[in-house]
Amino acid sequence: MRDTFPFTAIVGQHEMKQALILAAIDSSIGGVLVLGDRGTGKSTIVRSLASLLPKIRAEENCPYNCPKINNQCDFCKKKQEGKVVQKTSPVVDLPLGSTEDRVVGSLDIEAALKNGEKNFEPGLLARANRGFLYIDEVNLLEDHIVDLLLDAAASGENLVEREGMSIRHQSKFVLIGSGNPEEGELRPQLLDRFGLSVEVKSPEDIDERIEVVKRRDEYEVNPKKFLRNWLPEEKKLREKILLARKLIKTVTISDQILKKCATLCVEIGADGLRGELTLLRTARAYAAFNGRREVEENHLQEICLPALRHRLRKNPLDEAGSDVRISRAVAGILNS
Amino acid sequence: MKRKIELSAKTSPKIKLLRKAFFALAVDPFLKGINIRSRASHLRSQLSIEIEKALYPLKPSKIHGQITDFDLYGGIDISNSIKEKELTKRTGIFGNPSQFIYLAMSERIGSSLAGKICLAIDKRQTSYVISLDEGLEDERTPYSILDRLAFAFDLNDERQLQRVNLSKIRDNLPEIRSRLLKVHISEKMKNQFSITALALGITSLRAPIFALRTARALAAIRGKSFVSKNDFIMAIQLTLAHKATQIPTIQEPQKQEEEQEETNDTKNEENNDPNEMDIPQEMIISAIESTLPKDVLGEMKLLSPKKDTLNSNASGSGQRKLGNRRGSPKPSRKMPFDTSKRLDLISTLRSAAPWQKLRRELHGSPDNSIIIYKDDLFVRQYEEKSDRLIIFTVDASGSNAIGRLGEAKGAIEYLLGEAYANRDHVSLIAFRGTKAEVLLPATRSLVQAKKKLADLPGGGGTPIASGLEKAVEISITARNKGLTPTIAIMTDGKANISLEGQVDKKQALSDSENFCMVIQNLKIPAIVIDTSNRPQQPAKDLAQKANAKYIPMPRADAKKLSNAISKSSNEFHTNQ
Repeated sequence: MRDTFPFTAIVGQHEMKQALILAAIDSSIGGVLVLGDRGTGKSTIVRSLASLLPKIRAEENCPYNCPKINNQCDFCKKKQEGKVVQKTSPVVDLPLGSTEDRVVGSLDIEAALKNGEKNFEPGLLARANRGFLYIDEVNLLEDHIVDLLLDAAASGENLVEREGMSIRHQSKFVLIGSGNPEEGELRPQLLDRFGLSVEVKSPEDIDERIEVVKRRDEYEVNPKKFLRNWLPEEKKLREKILLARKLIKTVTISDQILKKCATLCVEIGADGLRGELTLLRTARAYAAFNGRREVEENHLQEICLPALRHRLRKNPLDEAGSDVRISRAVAGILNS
Repeated sequence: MKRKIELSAKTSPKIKLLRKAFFALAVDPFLKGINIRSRASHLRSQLSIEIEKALYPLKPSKIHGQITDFDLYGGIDISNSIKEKELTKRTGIFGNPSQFIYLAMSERIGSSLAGKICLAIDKRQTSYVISLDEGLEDERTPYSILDRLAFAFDLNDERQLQRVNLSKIRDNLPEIRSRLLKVHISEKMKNQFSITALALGITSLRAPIFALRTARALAAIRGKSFVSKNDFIMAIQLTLAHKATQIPTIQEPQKQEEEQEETNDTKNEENNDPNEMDIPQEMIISAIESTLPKDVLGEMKLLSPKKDTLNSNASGSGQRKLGNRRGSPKPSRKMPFDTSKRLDLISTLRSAAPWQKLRRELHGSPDNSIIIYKDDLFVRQYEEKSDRLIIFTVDASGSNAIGRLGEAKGAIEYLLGEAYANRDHVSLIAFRGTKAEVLLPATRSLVQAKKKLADLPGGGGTPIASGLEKAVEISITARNKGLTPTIAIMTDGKANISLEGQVDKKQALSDSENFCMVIQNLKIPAIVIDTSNRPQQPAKDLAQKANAKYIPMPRADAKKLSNAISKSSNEFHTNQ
């Protein structure tokens, strides 16, 4: 695999990077939705995740990335002896126009034609298990593919009933979607599934822009050297993520904070209870990332925008608004 | 004829630039490719030869709108497998390092194919992408692709191509490439690329990076180890000018300066010391301006990313472009097959495959034959999901503006919200003064619709006929694309401007009545919302002539309006 541009070397886009890190710390936060202009480094950031994230321990060659040999997975079942190896955390691209076959998997034609065996050929949902599934231009994705994804994301497993096969395999992944809202709206059902939603803009600060071009250039002139220079940073962040993953189990949330979360969600009129849950989980991950054992108010403040932005019941035509409304509610509640 | 001779005698600056672009591409694969806008012509055929020469030894492969995933990504080659009686695989276009890609008729490439191509570019599964845009007027290569290619040229005004002699470059290619990344470029210039890009309204960060690479490539080609002023300027002309969305506000630049630069090209290079170079902003701007097309503003509007929305749902070819959702594929099904249907070969084989061993034993056939039963056959199915298009035709005339334009806007806004929930397409036409204007062609982007609506001014005459004419036009094209149009007219019905734009009440009335008849004959569901202060006869008449539903606005709160519109469109649907 080609070396990718290091995550830590990406200039700006703080909110997006933070959202991805939090989702990597606690996958139960749900997916990350990134909306914004083109050419702002959305894809670069997502693709650089793979090399940043800690490696996972998984059964060698297992297409489903099983942590160890087991009886459920149809690959591991056939194996006598397991061999656990380190694998890079999967970050799988789901291109627009992928067919259903490629997403959920289908009959392995090769095996069928050659040996008359009825084998299952795992699809993208299998490959993304225990990792990230990235959809660029998620707002243009065909509806029937979206349905498949929603189903798998909600249940954490992929159930295939086709061509006389009945296969069920684990498919736990963090969904990352990106797109440009000017090209089409996202279906509300899909919107709701994303835990965090961030908005990216082209940096308007001239120095920041210059820095972007410079680093890119530096990277291209001598990628090896560039990667070497950024290695310590990458390692530092990776360790911080690993530490946060351990710490998160011990992070406590006081009743007072819980109440504030609930009040906040009521205040802005978020639908359902996903808002509160995401808020809690994200705040907890954020606290853990900062090495704290208890969620504090300023943690909430930091993460409330990405956690709630897309949950407002709003007039779809109301363009700005939601950030302002949240900030106002937050200011009123948290500082009281 | 005369013009041709003239031009061939002296190569135009654009062609000179084009040549530089070819050079740079040949040297630096990172530049990804070029978008060339040109209709089929002698020049175009010349162009293909030049491109192939420039990118030799890479071989061209073509991607067109209807290309299948199999062709792109490769896989099991069924027909060959059957012929050879063993499993053969074929590599796709992507991931074949010995090929470069022609995007034929790139203006017609749908968003989904564009997405795949972008992914391939990002993942470096392809060497170069040469996008050939044959579009007229406002058809463009998808913005996502344009943004990922370093260069773009519009050659529609050019007649003659300059033959490129690349042998010098090609012979020294390894050497030039090894020099490429060692080329020195001053910090100031590096910064200047970003600054210029921003000043030109280019938000994408790919552009300044391309500019930097191009400057290096140009210097390397000349055999220099530093980027000169000319390399710098030319890099900006090549990579930034065509992506500009605004002209920076700097005092009137002088064109002569640039032209001089062009002619002095070779002379003053040597004198330049790379370290103390100061490039005045005006010079950069003028360099850019010289490469901009004459119709700058018009072009720029087209180049801005928003334009892409129009193409975003396009699927492949020709007329059925905007938001055509006809035939989104459904899973194929087993059913009796006849020639009017399309066989889904893969699914058929898939369903037959597991039984092959059994069947061969049963029929005693040789091992490598594939036995397919009739009920294995899968037929491709497409879902003809016809989306609704609501065409809002709004009276923004004086008579109406004084009355209730604001209210009408509010009502439309509510309806747009409903349209969003139903995933309908919307289109917005406003008529005032002497004629109607299509503010928004069929789209799903409500953000845009809302913006347009908010900016809608009021005042002037009431050219209903012209408004209806536009609405009918849009309806007809929409139908061709598989959409179901509904016209919502908001007016007080007091037509006073004829179709020709003359103040003539009588003519105005008969013109608008004519179009009402057209609407009726075409069976386009319509609804007339009377925006006058009290329900009045003119609007009622209009509704009756068009066989439209009539709703007076006073009673119509926004919700009622919305229900009425969906009802009238549904009724029509079932009646047909």
